[in-house]
Amino acid sequence: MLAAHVDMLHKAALSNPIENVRHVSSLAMSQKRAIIRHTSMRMAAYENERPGAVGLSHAWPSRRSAETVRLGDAIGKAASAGDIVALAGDLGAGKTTLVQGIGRGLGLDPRDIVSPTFTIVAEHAGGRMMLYHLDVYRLGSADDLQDLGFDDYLHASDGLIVIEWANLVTLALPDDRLEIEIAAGPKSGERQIHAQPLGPTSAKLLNRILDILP
Amino acid sequence: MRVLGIESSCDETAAALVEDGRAVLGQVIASQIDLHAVTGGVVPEVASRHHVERINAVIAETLAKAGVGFDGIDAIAVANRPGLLGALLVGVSAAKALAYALKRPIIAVHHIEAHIYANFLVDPSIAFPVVCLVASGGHSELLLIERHGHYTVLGRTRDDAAGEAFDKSARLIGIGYPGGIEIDRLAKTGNPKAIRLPRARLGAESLDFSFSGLKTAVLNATRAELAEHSIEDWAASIQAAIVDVLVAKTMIAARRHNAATVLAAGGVAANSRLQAALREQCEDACLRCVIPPPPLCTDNAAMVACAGFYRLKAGEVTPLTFDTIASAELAR
Repeated sequence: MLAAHVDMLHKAALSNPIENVRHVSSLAMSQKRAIIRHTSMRMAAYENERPGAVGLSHAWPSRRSAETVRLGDAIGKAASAGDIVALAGDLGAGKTTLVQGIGRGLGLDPRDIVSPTFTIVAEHAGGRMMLYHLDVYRLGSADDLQDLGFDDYLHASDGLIVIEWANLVTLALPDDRLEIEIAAGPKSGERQIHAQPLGPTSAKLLNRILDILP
Repeated sequence: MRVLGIESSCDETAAALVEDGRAVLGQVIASQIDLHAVTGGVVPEVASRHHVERINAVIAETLAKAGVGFDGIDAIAVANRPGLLGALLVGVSAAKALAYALKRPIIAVHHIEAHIYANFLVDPSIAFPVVCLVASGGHSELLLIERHGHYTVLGRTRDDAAGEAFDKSARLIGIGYPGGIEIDRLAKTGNPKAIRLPRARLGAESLDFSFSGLKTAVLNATRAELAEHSIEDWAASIQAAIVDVLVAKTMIAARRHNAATVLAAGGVAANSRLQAALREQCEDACLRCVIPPPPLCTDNAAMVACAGFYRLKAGEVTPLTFDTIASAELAR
């Protein structure tokens, strides 16, 4: 009985939906690139609007978690209500650490911000705007988000929306979002944090972040 | 007093009828565990729709098990915070409808308080002051409870919850997600000292927890290092790294606050190493230790009914206009 159960678990692990979703995401890459191209064209107008504006993307190195927190702090300070930050990066990359910095930048106690993997949603009041901290790690696909009432959060107009593991549910997200990926850096323990705006609102957000932390 | 407890804050749809906060007359937990196995452990749907589909049947089955009709309910307790709003709303709506139709008092309960009261289901004579470790997939807190309903948070996690540390480490060593229970099983034949893993103490004074360092250490282990030790040794070493800190800090808290009783609650309290270590160290310190049986550690509605019973007994009733709350600290 137990052996059969373990066997079933192993089989299930092999066909893990998280991995499957990665395929879906990669299928969506062509679509995503099209969006990025489209956005880049729209971005050109912004560069005229604001001299020196970076419409495309930016990368920051982070040698320790304190630097990741400092970038988060700048994002929190730069954020406007309704902004959407979509985070990607493997287990242990530092996504929650970045969100703790974002909370600090919004005027929240960063100690109140912990991983919402299990609870999926954490709402933080008490800063200069609401922080909606979402984590879709436990969800299999974008379909599940609708049933969760995710749209209500994605269109919240009174705060910043930050989504961990957003790359798993790309198709369910609004087009105009700041995608931030935390990847391994050149040396062990280092990180490279890459930000890519996918629309005019997120491009403005990135510009404001760069004003604080070039 | 027979209290109908209703719980729908996350993955489980549950109801229980409990007499005087002690005797579970009937209970049903509609778990999604079957779906977990099929899809490799990622919750396919924590949707409110699932709760909606199940809530009426769960309540009816609970009453049938208890052998009573709706008139056998004296009061209703429901978890209204914290949790997924859509999910909470299903249990709360059902509870309100019943309370209104049956003209019975209703009490809204904090989910963590309910976990704590799983202990009072086991033993209503628990002596205060109490130090309680609450450790689950979503929560890791150390609480001082001086009397019923009065909580002081002594420590909490700064990053990942203890249950999350189990589940994510399990995934990193290749035994799927969530693998906390599997780690417990594999660890039984593993060597907990095989691999040196970090234990975050966060300074002598701190009663906070941090498990992200452990996650990073497991993450940074190369394939070769992973293969060097058996999966059982990895499981035992990870389990020891999590449990040792939980138990050590619980004991520090108990001494510092002259606790009469030490409690554990939440899904991680079902871990066999945690149970053994906490019981042993409490015995050495001449402290009473109460831990609920595993089915009462994980989400259930009997604990909600029990927590509600103690509040109702103290004369509390919640007006029917109460709401669901996504994020809420346990009231101090």
